[in-house]
Amino acid sequence: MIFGNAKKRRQKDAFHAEALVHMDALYNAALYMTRDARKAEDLVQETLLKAFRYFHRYQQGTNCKAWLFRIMTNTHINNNRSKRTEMTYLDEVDSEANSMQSFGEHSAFYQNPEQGYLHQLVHDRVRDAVESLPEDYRSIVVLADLQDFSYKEIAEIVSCPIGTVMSRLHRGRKMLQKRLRDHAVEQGILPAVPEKKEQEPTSLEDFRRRKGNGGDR
Amino acid sequence: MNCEDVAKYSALYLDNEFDAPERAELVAHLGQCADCREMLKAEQAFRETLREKLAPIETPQYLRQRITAEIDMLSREAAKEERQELFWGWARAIPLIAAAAVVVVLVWPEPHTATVDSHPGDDAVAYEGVPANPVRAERSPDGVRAMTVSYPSPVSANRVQGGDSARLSLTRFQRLPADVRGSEREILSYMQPRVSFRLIAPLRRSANVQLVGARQVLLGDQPAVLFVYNVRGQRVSVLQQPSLAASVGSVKLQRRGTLTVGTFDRAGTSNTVVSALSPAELSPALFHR
Repeated sequence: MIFGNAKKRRQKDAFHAEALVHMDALYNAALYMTRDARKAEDLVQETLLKAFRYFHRYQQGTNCKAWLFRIMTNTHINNNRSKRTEMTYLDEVDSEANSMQSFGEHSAFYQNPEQGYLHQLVHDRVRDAVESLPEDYRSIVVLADLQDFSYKEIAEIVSCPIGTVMSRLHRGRKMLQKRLRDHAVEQGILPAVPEKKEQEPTSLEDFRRRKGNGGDR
Repeated sequence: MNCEDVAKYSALYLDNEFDAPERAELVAHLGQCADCREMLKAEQAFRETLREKLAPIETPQYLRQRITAEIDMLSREAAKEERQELFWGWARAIPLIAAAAVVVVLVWPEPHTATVDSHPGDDAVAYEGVPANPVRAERSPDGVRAMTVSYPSPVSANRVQGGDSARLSLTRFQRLPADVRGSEREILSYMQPRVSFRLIAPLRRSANVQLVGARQVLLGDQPAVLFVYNVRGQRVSVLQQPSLAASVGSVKLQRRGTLTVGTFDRAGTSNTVVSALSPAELSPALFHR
């Protein structure tokens, strides 16, 4: 009996040390995922309680944060499974993103001669811009740019190929930049100018293949 | 690596996705090219500003407390369950001794024959139908009413049926003394000293409505009683607790999934009824409608 208690206590302590330290990260990501404070709270709570229940399946020493985010992403998707509307919306945006691809010059995602405009935008407008991204792009931009996950980790968290992560990240950042610029123009921070041209998503494989073929050597 | 490559792959570099040789190549190019340096610096600055603007919000304190408390509870319950399983594993091995011990522990107040009910499935309360062979107050051959007292099985009442591991069972009563089965009068007189409020039979007794048994439970820190009825062959559970409301309100029965749920006040008690019966079938058993 006493042994059982000690084991449970150790497990709880390990959970505190490894998992609960990521609560802020989960909460912030949940805010972007759900776009609603109450729903974000519920999502974080559900995620962490699930994680505690399955903590024995988590392999010590592996990336606990990524494991938690994977649980949260799946939980969020399951909770919203019945909602078809988001899906159709995404399809529309996907075709929009595809049409954007016909433009093209360079791939510096946030590169922009007047990059100082972002400084002048208030936090809320920037947050709005992120929240206005379609769900699949939004979550990947948040995971990459605010939570510092690698492409590979993101691919595992959202259960999709690394190529999809890269193209969604590229498009998501493009859309985000466009929305930020729109906000800046709206507020008179930037003059209204014709859009800069865009380019196709970059692929690491392409780059390596080119290198392999001795492309520019 | 040339300027075109840097422009095309700078994001991969800034995302830390380049391996060491690729990175070295790009850095070497930057060493020679002021334009690319500027461009990368600007992009890096944009990213940093974006992160600043989206500075993380701290988790609200109440959420943090709620989650920590839930985890404490889960942890305690898991430990308790393990202990109970250990204990019951032992007890099953020596059932006679365990049974005798339980009878002694119960300290039966009246000179009835008290027997320990050793069917663990029988007292999984509240959410199931009446067992195939419902236990009723029986008359022993000599005409003395026999009463059955059962010690709560450690596990059966706590497992939510259906394998939904995500759902928590809120009802954990292992520490409490007993289930009791018998007549309405016997059940009430057994339970009355164990609670701090005046008990009253929650349902109207009739040929179709029989009190099967009751169990003492805790709601928060307050003792409460869970009555189990057999109404037209279906199990009906009524949880009774003290009520501050003096008024006698009407009953509202609602269909929740496959269950009918309702609450009503009766003589200083607040009652919550749960059953698989339809509201129309259940309603005649209630004192007020």
